[in-house]
Amino acid sequence: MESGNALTRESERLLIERARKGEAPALRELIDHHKERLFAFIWRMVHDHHEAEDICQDAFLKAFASLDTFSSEFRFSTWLFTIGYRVCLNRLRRKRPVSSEIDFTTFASGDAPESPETVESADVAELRNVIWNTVDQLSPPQRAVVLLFYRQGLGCPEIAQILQLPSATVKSHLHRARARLRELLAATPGLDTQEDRNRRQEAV
Amino acid sequence: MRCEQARQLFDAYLDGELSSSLMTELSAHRVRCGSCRRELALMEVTGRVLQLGNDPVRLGGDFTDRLLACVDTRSFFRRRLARRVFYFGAPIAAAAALTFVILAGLDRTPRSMVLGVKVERPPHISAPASEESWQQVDKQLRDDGIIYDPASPLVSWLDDVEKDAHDAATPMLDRQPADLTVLQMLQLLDDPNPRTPVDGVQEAPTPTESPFDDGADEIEDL
Repeated sequence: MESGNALTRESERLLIERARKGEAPALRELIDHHKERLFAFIWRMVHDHHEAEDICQDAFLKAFASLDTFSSEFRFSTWLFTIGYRVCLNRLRRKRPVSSEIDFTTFASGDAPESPETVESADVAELRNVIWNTVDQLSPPQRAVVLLFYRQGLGCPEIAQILQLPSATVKSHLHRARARLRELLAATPGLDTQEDRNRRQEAV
Repeated sequence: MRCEQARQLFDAYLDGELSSSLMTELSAHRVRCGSCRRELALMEVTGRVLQLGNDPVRLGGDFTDRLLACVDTRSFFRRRLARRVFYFGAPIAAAAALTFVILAGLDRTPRSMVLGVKVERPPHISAPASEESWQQVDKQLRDDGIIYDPASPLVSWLDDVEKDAHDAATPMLDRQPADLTVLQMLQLLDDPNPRTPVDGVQEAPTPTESPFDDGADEIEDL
């Protein structure tokens, strides 16, 4: 789940030991390993660049403040995502999302290096847009499950640890999220099949 | 396989949890049914779209530096020190508190001295604070049969007190001594005027209070 080259369990344990002693390079390494994925997850939850950055910082600070209580039987990333998700939920509860709010930082995405994968046809871009808009309509727990499952590539047991839910509940959230996605996507006008289009042309 | 049955298998198919026989069944249905084929394809492409592609926003380049500026590395040392103090100090403090409680709890059997006779007071009876309380204690002692143990030196003394009280009270009170409480008996014994009424017993007026006193004096003078 780490960005860049993944840390092994042993190297992560040593890194946390050093971080517990307050060694700044170890703290920096931990931050650099996890910040991008945590930020992406949180941004997808709150859709506000500054707030996502704020939550991300808060999650790291909370994690460092209670580093002594961290059990090495879990991955640090799982623990960090758990803290991040809790902070995120608290913020979402406190501040109801306003649909008219626009995150202008999304327009300044020229900073991000454009990989060959991002050069895609208009069809794919449109489909991506529709799917992400549909994901945004899911409830926060369902959205979190979808993001962790598809974006972070986690299994249900690890998602259950992060969301502090039973594994069966996570699976249920995932199934409901898929059913809701099916329902919303089926109702999207642009996603009709070639067969449907041909049938409409014949009728005309 | 019908569409309803096929749709129930979609999630297991997407999670890769379908057995080979059910997978064959679903694939066969998929070939025949355009609706299920489209729905399943939509879910597969949704999964792929969600998995791939960059996020439109990225963290600021100075995020790590800003975060580290907020972290007070000295607090790590202080927390570790506090934890060590707690680990070693808490058991010592607990042991000291336990020892104090045990020592303070020793020899806590309630005792009292009544007129030089040391008696054990039942633990459920606390020291009375008023006359009513003394009467309750008296009643309770009677009910419990504690005072009326003939072997007790206190009982023999109280018997004497009761007898004296009976002798003092009989001339003016038409009562059985058994009806008097110990407290009333003690009041009668301590009273310098033995004719003082006890609790609601009316006493006849004395000769000095007679309306004819003045006339009697005059007759003597004559």
